[in-house]
Amino acid sequence: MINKQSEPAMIEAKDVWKRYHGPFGGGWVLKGVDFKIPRGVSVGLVGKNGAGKSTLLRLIGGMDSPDKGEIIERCRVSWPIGLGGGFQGSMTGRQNVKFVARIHGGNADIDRIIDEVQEFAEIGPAFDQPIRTYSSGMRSRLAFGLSLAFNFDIYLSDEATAVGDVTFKQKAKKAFKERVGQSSLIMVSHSTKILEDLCQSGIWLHDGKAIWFDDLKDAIDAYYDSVGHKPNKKKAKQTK
Amino acid sequence: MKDQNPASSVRSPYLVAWHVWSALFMREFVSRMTTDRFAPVWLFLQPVLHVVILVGVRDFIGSGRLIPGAEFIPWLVIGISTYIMFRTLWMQGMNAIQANKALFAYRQVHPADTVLVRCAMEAKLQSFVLMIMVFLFTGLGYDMIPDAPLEALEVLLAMSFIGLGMGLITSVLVSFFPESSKIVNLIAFPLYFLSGVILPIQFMPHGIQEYLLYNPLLHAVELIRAEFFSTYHPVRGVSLWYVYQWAICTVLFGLALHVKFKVRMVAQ
Repeated sequence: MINKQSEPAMIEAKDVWKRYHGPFGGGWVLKGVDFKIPRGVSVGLVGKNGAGKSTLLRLIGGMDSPDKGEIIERCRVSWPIGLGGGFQGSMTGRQNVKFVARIHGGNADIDRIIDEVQEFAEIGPAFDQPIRTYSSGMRSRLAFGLSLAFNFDIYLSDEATAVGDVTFKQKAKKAFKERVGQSSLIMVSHSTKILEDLCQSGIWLHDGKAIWFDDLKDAIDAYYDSVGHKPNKKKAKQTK
Repeated sequence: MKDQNPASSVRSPYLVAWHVWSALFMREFVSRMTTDRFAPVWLFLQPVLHVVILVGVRDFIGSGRLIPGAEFIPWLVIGISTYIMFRTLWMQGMNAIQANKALFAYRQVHPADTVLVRCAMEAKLQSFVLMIMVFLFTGLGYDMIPDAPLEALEVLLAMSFIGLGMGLITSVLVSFFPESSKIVNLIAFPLYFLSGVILPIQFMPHGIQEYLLYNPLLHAVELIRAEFFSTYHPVRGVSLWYVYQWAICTVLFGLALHVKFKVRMVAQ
């Protein structure tokens, strides 16, 4: 704990406000979000649909900037890995991987990166097919494998594991267990199980505010309480 | 081991920009060449056909064929090729952001990068097309060898920068109002006639010429012809400095728009 205090936080959000200007106006999504993520702590983001989880990830990933406040990053942060994007549909998996390797300055070891991604994704001959022909599971396998080929300090995952099958989930879990101590994870997921497996702390987004919980379980409990739905675990206890 | 990893060593901002540009260049080139099976052929065939057909039509009509100081067909070919180059740069630049939207997930890639890279690639391809045109019509027996090739290149380059500038400006416009691409197309079309591409401006009344000279493309087209054919008398009042002024202004204005609206373009 003393360590955490002395070392500057890896990611620090200071009074972050964000709203979207739609054609019919738009309300504030984030209303003064404040938190600090210490080094080496993986965080699960929970909250309702539309609570601003993906928005927050995009802000941390540098794809967007807050209307007010700031986000300070003292480490290398990946792009948000998720269903959303990052791939050009008309290009093959291999071409997309090459592109990402190049923009990260990996021209020299482009072959190593391609091998690593191919090995992790296990999508076989589809690697040389256009991305638009991929199923969502194949896309997320490729996206996950691609991000793991680079050594980021923090990986951002936006439901990236949601569509994966069992083997993929196991693989993703294993990859992150191996990296404990080197890199951590900020994860949005509606699957409590994968959050509990991979994250220690939690942030609950509620009414545009972020509430930090040192223990992920408290964050999940608070979230379930707010929607008036008891988590499965408690139900299980009651039945016992 | 960490040093071997590309993401671990800190790169200078210039190096990052260079990496992004080279990656985008290769991506753009591949996608331009593989949109369909016919793409690489069509890329060169389309402008050549365009020129050949227009030359045929113009030849058939016959009037106004007397160009002071230049042969008619080469005069026409140079004008059309220059115009096509400008227009392609502009239109490709304008659509660059839409086509590369997915790539803004990576924070290194800025919308301006896609426009810059696309215009640079298109300028290269189109100068190649221009060279083919020169060789083709020289082979057909016309005098198409430029008398002052380096000066012609300079004019071409200056004009390409206007194309880039217009691309930068309209790409911002189009990413906020997608409908505006139709209007831009509509505006770009009359340029064909206002730039003296197929109709010699020299024969127009002086009062009209004065207004036509506000169009920088007319300056560029006339100047390139003058560099190609040393005996040619371009429209009075054309100047390379005017082309440069337009190039500088449009590029700077376009870049300023990209700086101002970068976040909102990426966020969409």
